[in-house]
Amino acid sequence: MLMPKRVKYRKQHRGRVKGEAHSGNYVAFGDYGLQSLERAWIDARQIEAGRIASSHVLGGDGRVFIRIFPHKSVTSKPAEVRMGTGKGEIEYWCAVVKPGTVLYEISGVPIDVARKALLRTAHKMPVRCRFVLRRQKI
Amino acid sequence: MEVVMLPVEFREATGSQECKRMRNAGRIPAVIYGLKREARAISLESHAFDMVMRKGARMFEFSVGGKTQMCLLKDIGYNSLGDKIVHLDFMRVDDKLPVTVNVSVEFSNPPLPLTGALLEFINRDIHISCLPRELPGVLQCNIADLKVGHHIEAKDIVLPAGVTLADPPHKTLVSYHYKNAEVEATPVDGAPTEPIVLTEKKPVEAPGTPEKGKDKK
Repeated sequence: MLMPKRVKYRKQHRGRVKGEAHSGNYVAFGDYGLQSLERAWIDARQIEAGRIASSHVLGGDGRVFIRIFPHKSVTSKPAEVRMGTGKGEIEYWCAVVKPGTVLYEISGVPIDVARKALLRTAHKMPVRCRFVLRRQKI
Repeated sequence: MEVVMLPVEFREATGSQECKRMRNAGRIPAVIYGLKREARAISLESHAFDMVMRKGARMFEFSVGGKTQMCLLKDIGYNSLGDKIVHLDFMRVDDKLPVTVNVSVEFSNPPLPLTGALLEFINRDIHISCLPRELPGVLQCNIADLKVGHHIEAKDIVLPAGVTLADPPHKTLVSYHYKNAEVEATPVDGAPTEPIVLTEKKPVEAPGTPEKGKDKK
């Protein structure tokens, strides 16, 4: 599962996901991409599930690029515990995703195979996604 | 490449709100600069620009203020979702001076796929230098004879007459090689399951220090 190797602080504030993606919003490495149309926290297990889903369709051909990384730690308190006595323990790590963020990219396969693989990946995501192509460089 | 003529208008009102109003009215805000002359803010019709962009146009001729000016499309600004054009940059070019531009390379006839081999497109465009009117739309490259373990460099692309390569000749465009075995993300015994916290205070216990309250009688 994806997780940072080292962090400055273990626990974080929850924060708010505002605005749209101003970076990481175009296909940069592969030929085809999966773009998020909504904002969400995508946890490390969902990212891994998406990678496995596309790898199964590709069957060893092509290459999958994961464009998001779970930098954010999310804590929670156990059930039936009184409030107070400090922040809870880390439950999972997640990536903060805004509309426009490219989640996955694929290269080295025909467009129909890439479309099928990224559609399978999209089903593992907690957001609405769309298939996008690499934009021609000016 | 064909030089496309498009009607444009100078715009005096600038700023984000004015540009937003312009986009809602079906026009794209743009700017023209270059040839050591003052930059001018212009606007052009969105639909007309979309139609010529579909044909891959890069060279434009604008007639504004009774003068015609040849311009090269330098940059396109998109919105966050990447589906709408929000701004355009045009650079004035002289008909007799060469320009350096990025041109995409179209790779045709890919070799038959081999198990475990990956055809990797590292660069899909190259920089070329030529006169504005001789600018090619797209460069063709046949990769049918590419074998595993070999690659294609920028110098291997056949350029039309009057066009020179502006990139390093050994810039790799396509590589056909065997894939490295993917490392499975299974947890290894003894591997840390939590990240290292840089600001965490570690409890330090010196071996010879007496414990608190022990010496008290």
